[in-house]
Amino acid sequence: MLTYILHRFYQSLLVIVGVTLVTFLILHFLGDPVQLLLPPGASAEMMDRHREQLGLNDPLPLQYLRMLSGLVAGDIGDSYYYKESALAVVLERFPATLELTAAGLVMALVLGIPAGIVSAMFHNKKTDYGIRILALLGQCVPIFWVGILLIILFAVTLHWLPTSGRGSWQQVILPAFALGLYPAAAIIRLLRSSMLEVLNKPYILVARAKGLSKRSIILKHSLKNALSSVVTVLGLHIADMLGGAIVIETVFAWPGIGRLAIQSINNRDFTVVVGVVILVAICYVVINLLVDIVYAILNPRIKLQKEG
Amino acid sequence: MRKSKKSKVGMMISILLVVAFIAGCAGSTEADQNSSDKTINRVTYALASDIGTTEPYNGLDADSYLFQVFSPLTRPDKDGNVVGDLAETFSAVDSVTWEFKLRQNVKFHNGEAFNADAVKFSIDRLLNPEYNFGFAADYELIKEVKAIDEFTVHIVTKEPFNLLPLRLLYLSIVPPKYIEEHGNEYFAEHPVGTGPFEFKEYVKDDHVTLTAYQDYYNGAPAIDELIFKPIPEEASRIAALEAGEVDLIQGVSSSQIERLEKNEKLEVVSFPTTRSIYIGFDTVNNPVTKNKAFRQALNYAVDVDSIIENVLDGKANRLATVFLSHFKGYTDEVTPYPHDTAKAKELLKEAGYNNEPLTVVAPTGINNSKEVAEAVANQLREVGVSVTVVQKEYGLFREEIAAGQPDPLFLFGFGGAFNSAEQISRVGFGSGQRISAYANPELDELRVKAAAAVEDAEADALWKEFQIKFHEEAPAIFLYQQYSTAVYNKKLVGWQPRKDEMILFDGASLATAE
Repeated sequence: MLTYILHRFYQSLLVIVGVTLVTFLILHFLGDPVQLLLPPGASAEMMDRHREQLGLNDPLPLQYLRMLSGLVAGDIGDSYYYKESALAVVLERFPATLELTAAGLVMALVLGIPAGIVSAMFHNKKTDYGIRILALLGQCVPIFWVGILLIILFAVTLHWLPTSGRGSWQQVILPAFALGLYPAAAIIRLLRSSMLEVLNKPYILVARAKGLSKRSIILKHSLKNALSSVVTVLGLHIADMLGGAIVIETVFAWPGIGRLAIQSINNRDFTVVVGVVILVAICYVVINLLVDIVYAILNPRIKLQKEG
Repeated sequence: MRKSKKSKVGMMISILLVVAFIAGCAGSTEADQNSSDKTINRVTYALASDIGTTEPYNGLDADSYLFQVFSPLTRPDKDGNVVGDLAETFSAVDSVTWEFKLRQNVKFHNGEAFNADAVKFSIDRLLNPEYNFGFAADYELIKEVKAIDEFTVHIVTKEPFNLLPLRLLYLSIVPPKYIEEHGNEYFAEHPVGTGPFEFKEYVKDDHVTLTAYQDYYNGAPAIDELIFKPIPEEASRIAALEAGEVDLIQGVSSSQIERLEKNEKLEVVSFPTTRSIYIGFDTVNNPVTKNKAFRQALNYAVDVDSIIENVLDGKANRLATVFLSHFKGYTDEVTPYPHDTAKAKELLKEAGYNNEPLTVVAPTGINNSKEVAEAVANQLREVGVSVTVVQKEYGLFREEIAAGQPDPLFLFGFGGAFNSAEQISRVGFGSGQRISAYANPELDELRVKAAAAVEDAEADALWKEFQIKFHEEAPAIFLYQQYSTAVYNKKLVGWQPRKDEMILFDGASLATAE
């Protein structure tokens, strides 16, 4: 058991190191941050001096190792733009993204589960078709557009909710809705198909013979199963939302790491971008690791298969 | 059995998330900004990107909160003429020395007195190589500062430079005792200056709050509280304005103007900026654009007036060169190239243009760059020039041109609060400069002489000569002076946009609520 956990932990570390390497390389081939940091009239000597102080003149492998060793110590260098520790800049904004992700998840569940159940229970009726079309739209429509429409409708026209920013619970609603829309749609479709699977099972015939209505069969027998398949998929959606809130955070001026990532890419603020990417990678990896470990604990068969 | 274990996993994950949610909520700020508070006169300005820093020597944007909290010695007024702020009068003593007579009885927000020591301290601090401040590069030309007496300062430059007072705009004067006592970091988190507003708080990526400074030397502002709120997405900024959450926005895209003009609660104002838009040529590498006749031909081929009328809705000012009419040294004796397709074709033949394909870069981030570039490209094709428009990300374009490898033609805009004849000629067209793809030692020399001339008359004559030569050399397709548009809630009274796009509230107040 311990071997399995250590093995998975080691793999996770490799993934994180790999992510840092790829990010570092991509950013450095994007170009020189000093160009955008200094005013256009700055002299070449001034720029060289800045580069020297930021350590940008050192050979790439050295810069990478410096960053990596700093990461272990919790320091990946200073943000060129904010002139303070990049990790601090990123971590300051992380709670905001966590809040948005959690709210998005709640929204996805609140929208998706009841709709999925109703869709399954009334399958092939008009309600079902209606819900499935909405779910399809939810997965196809660009979040950017949805976000702005929500602002125009609920904030500008109806004045029910604020347009942007973070602070009050009213300000979470619109961005959480926009963020949770895609996972909600996925949940609806998954829940519906999982629940309807049960209709093909032989024991359903018995239940029907006993006199139970189709609807109560679906509700009693298949809901539990279906919910667990939804939960399996949730892990992916959570990780997606953590990193993918970039668009939502920008549209709703939400002060999280997604918006920070966009700004920092535009400013060529290497260290901050690396910080955001690493943080998101760690979240992905941790969530997967936790799920795998817990599965292994609950189900020894998985662990045995891997060792076999 | 397995399925119920999966639900347990799901439960654990959900619990973790709920904990995270609660933790996140606990850390969020109180929503006092959105509550209506009728006793405070509050104005909120929405900007496109967060301040990023409250250290006055590091910030980079014109619409920064900087100018509310700090004052410089001299600054441009609404029309671009340099006037004294903390300096009552100023004059050139010799070709490298400027004398500033300081205003008396001015206090910093913490009560510390403003005097010559503060000026010397500020400039020395900015130029200190240890601190590596972002603005230091613009003030490298200063050699030393001498405090002559308590209210007189001499600033000596390394080379003669007659535009120093304009350049001093960003050099905010900071309190020496306060900084010596608390250090740079504390000062950056609790900035103290001599401006009309005091710093109250800064929540990263969310807002900056300033309150009126009652003892401001020019009279306490009529507005009690100023809030600067970053909203990166333009559509969201406009929505916030329409919903009444913010009172003022600037730099609105032309596509939104018509709709906003119909809103009765809002005032829409378009105004000229200090930005000069032109299409530069790569005269260093490209054999076609190296040829002067070719460049002149393209100037004859483009119908700038038509572009201004049709692409920009008349909202731009035609320029004969890249010099703006408010620049010191501007001459109206140099007139724009007339639109003459016959002459263009003739010059193309003279230049030996053989249908070589060329690209025009339209960088992102410059208003209407794509539409204007497309319009120009169409007009160029009409005289037989083979050209395609390419859009590039602004940062990428800047890197290419700094590396000396721009495209043959590139649309660019150069402005800024202290744009001047010297600034744009040097940065945009000086030999070896970072955003210049043109090298002409004769013009460089003329420019340096004009910027060094002590007498206005001499400087004017030299700049006139420069403009004539520059016009003839045609290192760019000369286009227009860019306009910007500000939209604000009508309850904001007495506010006017400025050419340099700085957001200032002198003389502004809120109309009393109905």
